[in-house]
Amino acid sequence: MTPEQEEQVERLFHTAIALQPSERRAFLAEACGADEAVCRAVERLLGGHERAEGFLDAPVWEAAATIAAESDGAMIGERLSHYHLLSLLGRGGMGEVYLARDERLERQVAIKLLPAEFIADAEWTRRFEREARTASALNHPNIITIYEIGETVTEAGELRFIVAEFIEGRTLRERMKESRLDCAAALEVAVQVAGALKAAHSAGIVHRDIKPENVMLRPDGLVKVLDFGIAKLGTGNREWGVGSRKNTLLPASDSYSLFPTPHSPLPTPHPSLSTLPGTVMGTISYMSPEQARGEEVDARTDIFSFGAMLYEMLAGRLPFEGASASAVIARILKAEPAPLAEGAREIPRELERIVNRALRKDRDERYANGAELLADLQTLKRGMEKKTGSRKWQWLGASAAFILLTLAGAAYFFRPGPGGETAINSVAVLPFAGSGEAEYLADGVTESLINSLSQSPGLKVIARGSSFKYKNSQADPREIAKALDVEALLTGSVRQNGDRLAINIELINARDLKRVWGEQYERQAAELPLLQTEMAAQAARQLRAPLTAAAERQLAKRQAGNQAAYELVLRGRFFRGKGTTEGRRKALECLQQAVAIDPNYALAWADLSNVWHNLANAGELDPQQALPRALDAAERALRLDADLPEARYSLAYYKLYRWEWAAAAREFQRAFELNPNMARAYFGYAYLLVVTGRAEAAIAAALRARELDPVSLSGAIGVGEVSYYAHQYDRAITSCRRTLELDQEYSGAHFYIGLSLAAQGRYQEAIAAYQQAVKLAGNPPYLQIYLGAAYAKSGARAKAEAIRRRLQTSGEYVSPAEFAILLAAMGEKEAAFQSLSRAYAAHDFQLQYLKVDPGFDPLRSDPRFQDLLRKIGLAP
Amino acid sequence: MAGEITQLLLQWSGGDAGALDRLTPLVYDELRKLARRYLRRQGPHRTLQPTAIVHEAWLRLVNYQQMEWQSRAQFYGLAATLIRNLLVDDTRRRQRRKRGGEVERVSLTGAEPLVLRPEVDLLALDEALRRLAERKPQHSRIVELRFFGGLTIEETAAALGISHATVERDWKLARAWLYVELAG
Repeated sequence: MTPEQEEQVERLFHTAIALQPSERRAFLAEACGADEAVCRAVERLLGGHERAEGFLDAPVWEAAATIAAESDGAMIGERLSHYHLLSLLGRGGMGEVYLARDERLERQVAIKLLPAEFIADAEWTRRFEREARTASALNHPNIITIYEIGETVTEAGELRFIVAEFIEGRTLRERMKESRLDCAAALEVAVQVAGALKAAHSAGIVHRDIKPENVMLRPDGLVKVLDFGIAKLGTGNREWGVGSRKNTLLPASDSYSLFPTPHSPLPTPHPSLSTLPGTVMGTISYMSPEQARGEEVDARTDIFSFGAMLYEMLAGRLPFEGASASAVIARILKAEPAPLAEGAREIPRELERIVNRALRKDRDERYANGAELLADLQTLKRGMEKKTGSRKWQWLGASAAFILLTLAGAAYFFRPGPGGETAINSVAVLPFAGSGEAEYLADGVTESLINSLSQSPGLKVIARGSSFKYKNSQADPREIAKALDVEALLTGSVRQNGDRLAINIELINARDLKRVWGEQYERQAAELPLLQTEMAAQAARQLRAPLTAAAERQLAKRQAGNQAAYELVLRGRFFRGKGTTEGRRKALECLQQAVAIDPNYALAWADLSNVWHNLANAGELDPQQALPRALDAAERALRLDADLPEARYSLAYYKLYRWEWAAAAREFQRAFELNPNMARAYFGYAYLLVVTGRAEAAIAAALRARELDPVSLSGAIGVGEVSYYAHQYDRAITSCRRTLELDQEYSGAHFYIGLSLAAQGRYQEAIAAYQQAVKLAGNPPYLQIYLGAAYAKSGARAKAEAIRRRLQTSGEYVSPAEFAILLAAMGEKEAAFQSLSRAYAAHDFQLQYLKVDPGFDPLRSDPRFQDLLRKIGLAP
Repeated sequence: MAGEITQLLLQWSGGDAGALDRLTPLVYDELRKLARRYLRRQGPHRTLQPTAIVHEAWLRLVNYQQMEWQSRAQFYGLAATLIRNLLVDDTRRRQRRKRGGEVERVSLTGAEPLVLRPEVDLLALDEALRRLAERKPQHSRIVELRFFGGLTIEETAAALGISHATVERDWKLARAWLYVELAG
């Protein structure tokens, strides 16, 4: 277009707009003449002019000023005290919420900046602080944790803010928009919210604004209720977490008008509300009748709002709907909600009863508080789980056949649906870091997590022995995960500062080393027992293998005990884990003290029982003295907690010692039913199976144990040992060589290689292997016996004779059962049977191998041997 | 500071382009602070009188007794440009955050909670204004002063040293043209 044409366009435009719109087109057609381009250009402009009514008329200032001031993340990148604001999570009437980094404690937090207009009001500020302080005293997993209430002065003026736990997830509102919750899912949310209400109400705090926007759902299934105690001070919009960008129900300013003065605790219906369409009812939809009437509120107000929310979850609609705010309020005051069962869905009658009771107009007829509500919900939930329990567990593998019914339940609700994250099926808890005094705490936390997570059905958890191989390890996590054959690693650190504990925990996906989850806890040391349960429960949820509420309670009960006693248990475990004589002695002392302080502490008794066994096994105490004590402690533990796997294990061990094979088998089974990851119990069971002649099953159990405890020596040697007694000598040798890769200096592996070689008639090689073991282990009697036997069989009779003499005169304890093996190899059958008689009389533990040890082969055809087998219950 | 700004404004009116460079950050800071303060006073219903901010900035920054009306209009004009930049930058920043680093066009009505006049895509408007400025600098300037600066027809006329009638006429054309640009 030429400048002339442009000029013409402008002129024609101005002339045309001076005319009536109806005359403009005719004018144009005539004025443009043949110049199509000009005509089109003017027409376009005219079209723009005619439609531009109001366009750009009001200056952009208002928005500009808002942006310039503080809106929408203007604080990103700034520092408030030691918090570095990273991004905007959301905003609402109560101000903006930022994701921030706490640079002191190195954790992510959510920071809510209070709007300036509130700060100016001294009365409001004072009140806000008091309420926030009260709320921050609430300490419950289903309630957002308030860390700090801060204020600071910036160039823009005074700023007040609340620092709280950062919750990843979405609001219940967002979840409900996506799809309707099924009955079980709704009930799960309800139970957790009721748990939060129970805690708050018993602390005398009323939420006042329970609604789906104030309930956050984390991806792991944990539900968090936001803004306790401070909810009523602001407006309806609370956004601590990711994904809750906005409250679409009411624009901030309108919702604010529900509370005409900031310190009026009661919302009074605002006239302008009646003009709002029914779809924009925010807070009022969950308002209780007493709130609507402007009366004092109490715990029962929360019950009503909770009832409205649960109704909405189940029905997909609000209990009280109306075309306007006043209509909604009228229904809240007078109308009964439509029966829940009217919908097509099947809702348990009991659940409907609970919802109806929560929604009673007269608050005296409602549940009095969260505790009453929770009790009913939990009873219902347990009932529903029992009904569906059997069906739920079909997906579980073979070992799950043993899972207790009490463990069934929540896992089902939390399993991701199709398209959900891939489940992690195996994890190793690596020793938490902790130095000085915190070391035993760190070890204790590690061990507790192993024990707790172990009870998650369907989750493989590496046993303590293998995990602790990596204490202070600098190894590449990927390598560790590969060695342990796990998909994820859970680790962290423990720091102690006076009576405060700071525990950091993180879950790492072994595939890509990405942090799946992490959490920082700062608690009083006295809270450690409970905190461990909480951590275990959270970690389990992250692993998509959640513990049921019942299992969690059970764990909490177990961990809980007297605080001092609990610390002694942790110390006991710490010392026992050292694996030395000194460590076992100290562990014994700690545990004896623990049960003295708290005689009702089942876990302490179970640990004590295990230490007695350890002492007997290591030959540091006469089994005749140690084992009755082990039994006593195990029985006490079981009287206090019949389902304690450690105690069952200890009892099984005792039964094994007593040659009560069937009873031992039962107890081992119960132990790993209770704790499907209990490697020790599988080992014990494998021994039991192999000595009673069930070779194949024994090897399977040993392999299972090794899978759970792959890199510890005791874990690794088991398969070799069991294979030897199963007479699978090649497998035994291969397995023991594999064990030697972990530690070349492990005498036990050389010993079993020697046994296997000897059983194959390869005496010279066997002698070399035994000598290797002797070099590493000193010269214990059992090694000399088998070395002597190999000499005897290889024809070196003089050497065997020398060993026999030495053993008879050294004064060291020699197992008469094992001594019989040497005598048998030397062809002294009568002496061998005399030794076996002594063994039986002394209840020699080694007689358990009578049926399967090839060393007894020269004696088997004698009737006295069969007689002995029968006496110890091993005859076919 | 008032003295310095006054001096810079005088130099700028006298044709010293360098004075503008030094002036800009000072005025920008002041506007931002003032806007924040205003909001804190305003309470939940944020009905700002935009010119009030510029006026206060003018009073605070400039020793106005020394200044003529011409300079004041010029100051308002500068403020309008600054606000435009501030807004556009801020919008870009927010959109980057929302889109994971990509700068994308989104209608501001979608980019809540900032509520602009309906259907104004601020970034598109900014670019259209640039194109307009290439061919019709005066038209572009008028839109900037009126829309971004909140100036009335009279104030705009004074700031640009042209007649009311011209401002009104050019405004209509510019608005129609921008509308077609943005809608088409």
